Amino acid sequence: MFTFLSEVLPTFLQQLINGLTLGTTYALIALGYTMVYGIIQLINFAHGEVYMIGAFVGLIMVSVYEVNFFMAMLVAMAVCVPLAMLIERIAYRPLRSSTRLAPLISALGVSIFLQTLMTLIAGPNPKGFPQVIEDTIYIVGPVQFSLVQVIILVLAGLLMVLLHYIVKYTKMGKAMRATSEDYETANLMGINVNRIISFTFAMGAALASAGGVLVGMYFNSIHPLMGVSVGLKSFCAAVLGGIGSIPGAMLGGIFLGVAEVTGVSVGLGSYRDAIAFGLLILVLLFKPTGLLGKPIQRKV
Amino acid sequence: MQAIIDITTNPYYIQVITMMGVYLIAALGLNLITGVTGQFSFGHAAYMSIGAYTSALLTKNLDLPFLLSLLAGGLMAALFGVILAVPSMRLTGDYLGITTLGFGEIVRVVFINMEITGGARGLAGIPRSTDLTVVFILVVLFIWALYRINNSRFGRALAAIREDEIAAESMGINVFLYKVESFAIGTFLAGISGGLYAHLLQYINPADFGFAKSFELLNFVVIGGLGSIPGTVLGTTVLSLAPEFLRFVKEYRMLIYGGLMVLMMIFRPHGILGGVDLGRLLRKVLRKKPPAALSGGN
Amino acid sequence: MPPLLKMENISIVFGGLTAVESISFEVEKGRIVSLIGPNGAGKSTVFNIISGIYSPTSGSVYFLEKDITGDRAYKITGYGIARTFQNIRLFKNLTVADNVRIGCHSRSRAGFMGAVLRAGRVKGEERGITDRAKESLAVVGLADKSEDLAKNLSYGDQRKLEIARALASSPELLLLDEPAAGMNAGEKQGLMEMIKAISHMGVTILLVEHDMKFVMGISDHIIVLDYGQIIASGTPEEVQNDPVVIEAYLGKEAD
Repeated sequence: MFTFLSEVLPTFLQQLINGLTLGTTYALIALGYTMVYGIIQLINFAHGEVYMIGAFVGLIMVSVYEVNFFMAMLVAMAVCVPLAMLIERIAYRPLRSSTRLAPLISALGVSIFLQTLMTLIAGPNPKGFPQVIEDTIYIVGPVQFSLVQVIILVLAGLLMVLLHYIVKYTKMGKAMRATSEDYETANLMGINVNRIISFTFAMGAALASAGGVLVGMYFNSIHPLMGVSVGLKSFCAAVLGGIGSIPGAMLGGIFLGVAEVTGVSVGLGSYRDAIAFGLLILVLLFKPTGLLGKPIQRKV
Repeated sequence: MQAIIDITTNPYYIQVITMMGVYLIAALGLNLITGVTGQFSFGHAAYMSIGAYTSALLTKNLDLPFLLSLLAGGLMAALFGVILAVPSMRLTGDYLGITTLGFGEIVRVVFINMEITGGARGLAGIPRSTDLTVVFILVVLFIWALYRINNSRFGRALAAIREDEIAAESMGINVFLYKVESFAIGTFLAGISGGLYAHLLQYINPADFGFAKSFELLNFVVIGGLGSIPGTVLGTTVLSLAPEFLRFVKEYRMLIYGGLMVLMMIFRPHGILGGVDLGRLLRKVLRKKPPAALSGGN
Repeated sequence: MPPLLKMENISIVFGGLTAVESISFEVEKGRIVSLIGPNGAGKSTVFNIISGIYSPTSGSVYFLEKDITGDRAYKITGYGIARTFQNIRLFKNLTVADNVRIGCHSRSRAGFMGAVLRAGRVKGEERGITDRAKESLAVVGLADKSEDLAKNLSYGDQRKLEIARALASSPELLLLDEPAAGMNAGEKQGLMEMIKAISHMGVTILLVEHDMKFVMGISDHIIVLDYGQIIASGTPEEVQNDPVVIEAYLGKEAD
């Protein structure tokens, strides 16, 4: 009992905080996947690259222009939002009525293109992210957390609240939900579906680029291929939570982050990248549409 | 003429062409799963790795004959194909895709952590037994077998599942069983391909078989034309030789490759030969009357 | 003679909603029986239960005195029950001939190894499949279109192809789900003749249809459903004159 209170519990709480931090960044990216999938049933493989580019724009802003990190994040959003809308316009929109695999291959093409482009510009090696936030450590009882972690949790939280507000209460958000519910009917009801889709990509990109800057700040290192593994894991988070569901993406992201950090702390470090996928497969086998997903109706 | 002799005797080009054949075998397997049966599989490279490690360890450590080790690798891959397929067959579309992708990544991480496979350092010292002749014979054999499958009761059932699962089931097709069989055959071919790969390069590493490789194989199949055997052959040929032809653009190579993928899909979303029935086209060209309706299977 | 099909107290509940409630009826061999009722009465649901796509919440289905309740759809086809779909479900990118060949699936055996090795037995089986497919296409009059892709057929021809595909499985009982939907008067007349011809071949027919003239002109026996329950059954004359039917059904949907 004594060891539980003095060792196990503090370790657990510490891991929970670290996991939450990682998980909220996954959640930020997962939201973009889930919103896009909800509307056009596309796994937007280029989304991870939008996040990567967001991180690089953030890096340039803080290191070259020496703006504060908040400004850097806004600029990253300002670059990535039109980029994502452009990607949708060029690579996905012409394929909307095509087979399921065609837009997927196109998305992979965009992904390879952007990775290579960034490698050409920035070189293949990881770049250090300057320390823009003071390295303050807070100690509360047995656990400690850094100012960066607090900022990530607060900012990500705020962004998600904002997203919730937009989707729930604005005209655009309502149209988005309508389109996600039934594309054809929304179209017939006079909703400009193209605009809604662009808007969805824009919101996803805004969140992902913010995530990119936050992650750069947290791990102090970014590189052109960083979007690949994080992108896949975030997509896992979206599916885990129930793809198409916004609360599902948040839940899935946090769940995955906590699971990954816990897994590493119990000595599964070398299996780190498999944890997300293992969990995903397990969840899907028992609940084929994810934790918060609606069951599929078999239509005849 | 001299150019042809140069190419056909240059070991580098022979290596490139042999490798193309190796990938073609895996791509043909994926085409059966995704193109013919309509089931997404985003982890095909993992089955290549299972075949590669199995056969490499058998020849390297147990001195098993090469062809026997290939067969063992294929069967091992098929075994894992079935193990994954049985529980996941109730998933459809993208869910199945992401599950297979996840499985592929797990396999890769497991190989990194295994002792016997050399972990992340990879496995070296595999005998060089794969040559162009073996690959060529196997490619011809598999294409022949796959053509026979496509024009059989079995192959028609797979196509029916792709077109409409509920209608297929109502025609008396045990959809679950056929999907699993399709996975078994497709992953068997991936395993064979992996074994050939290992005995061609003599060195394998888990990083060779990540999801990037899986998507590359998917690319071959989709860009060639889903479900079409000539399409798969063409897609694999063009795309696996493309990096060679794009060598002159040096570091812009992958940039162009990615851009081409997007353009290809925009202009030919069904792939180069998608929706093209070569047999029918040929009959048209030869101005022959199509064989009497329902002339039976060959 | 025992009935070909016997439904006993069949009920099915979808998410708390009872779609079909305690239905019992029999279909005798050789008859043409129609299931009618307003939209949402549960007709297609009954079809989906018989053909094994849905499993009933309670009750039993007997085919040739064998309990087939809850068996998977592919097995039920094997027993000798074939069906068509209200919203045409052809294998669109395959040829007309291949659609019908797939219909022969449950009457043939060759598997993967048979396909590759193609021994004499398999070749013979393929010939049998092709003959059977030809016959079925001839019945519906599509023999000359066998090499067309299913998706390129006209709407009426697609409905006929659905029937040919179902016939190819040599069924004892054929379930036709709104076969006349979307057809013009001439096509409907042709379809009626075709169904009668199929019936003369010894195939028992159960059909769901909205067109009253069509139903009255073809059926030996009619079952009327409303709100998931049977409200009347009998010969066309009996049903037409039944006040309950007139009130509950014809009153709602004046035809």
